[in-house]
Amino acid sequence: MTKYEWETELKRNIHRLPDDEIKRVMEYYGELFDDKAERGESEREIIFEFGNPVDVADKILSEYDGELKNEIERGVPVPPISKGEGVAPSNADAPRETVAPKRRSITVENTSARSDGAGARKSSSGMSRGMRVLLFVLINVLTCFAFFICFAAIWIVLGSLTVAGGAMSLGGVAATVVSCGALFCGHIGAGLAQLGMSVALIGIGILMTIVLIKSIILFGRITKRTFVSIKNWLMSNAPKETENA
Amino acid sequence: MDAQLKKGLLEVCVLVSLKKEESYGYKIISDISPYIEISESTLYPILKRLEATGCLTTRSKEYNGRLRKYYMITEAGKRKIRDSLDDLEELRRVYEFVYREGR
Repeated sequence: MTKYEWETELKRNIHRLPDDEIKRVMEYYGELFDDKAERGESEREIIFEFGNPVDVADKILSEYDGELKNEIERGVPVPPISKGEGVAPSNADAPRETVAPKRRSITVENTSARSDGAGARKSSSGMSRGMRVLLFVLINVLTCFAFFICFAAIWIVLGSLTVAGGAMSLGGVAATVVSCGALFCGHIGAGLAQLGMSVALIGIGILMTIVLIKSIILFGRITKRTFVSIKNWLMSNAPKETENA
Repeated sequence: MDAQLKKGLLEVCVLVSLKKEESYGYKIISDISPYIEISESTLYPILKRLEATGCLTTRSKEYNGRLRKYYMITEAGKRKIRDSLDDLEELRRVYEFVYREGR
């Protein structure tokens, strides 16, 4: 994903906000992007750190809705952006305190519905933690733990392919040595053919190992993210603050 | 960490990072991330909220041929730091009690 694609995707997902709020968000991320780029980070790294634009948009929207609800409950006429408060004298903080717990419950519902957008789970927005754990266990029993088995299977495949790649390059090295032997014993034609094939084998083996190690790193991230979001969905009573871990 | 608690702590951390001098998004994150986990998308609503409650003001300044938004702490922001110190003192006592008795 390029910077442009990331920004477009973010913009598309927050389009229901007022124009000046969208502008503010885009300027905020644009500035961070430039600052990171000037310190030598690549476009890809920055995009990875920012996280999925849909998640970022969700967070912005739920925060915005939370602020708005808070304002409405306090009976303050609502400007598009909650700038209206200005420099509040200290005693004006009091009503905010009393409303805070109420607002919290609203945000909890908002975010727990959003923090895990995966298909069937979306319907479980208002569930308690116990219900969610129960549902989770039930789904897993019904599917014979297919979800975990899939992850384990992919890991096993990746692992064994990596070992295979390593073995291939080692075999190539051994074959090279043998073919040199053949060369010196006078079987020049056969020796050369074997040498060529052995070197090719080493190359393919190394290539395979590198590709697989990269895949393992990538899949490691995917696994971590998946399980962290499952854990948060199961355990959290409050909205999750730190995405993009 | 509990989300509300973390939000409160982040607000104070951001204000403290502005106490000496004005700062900007990237620098705020680098300054406080050794102490508390923070991401770009977490900082945004914190800054917005602090501005809305009058704890900080902003201005755009040119840097390297582009505009950068600088955040400056206000008197209300400094007052908030002082209030938080009292809260943190209480939290520290709780922490010590839990740490001592709960392990």
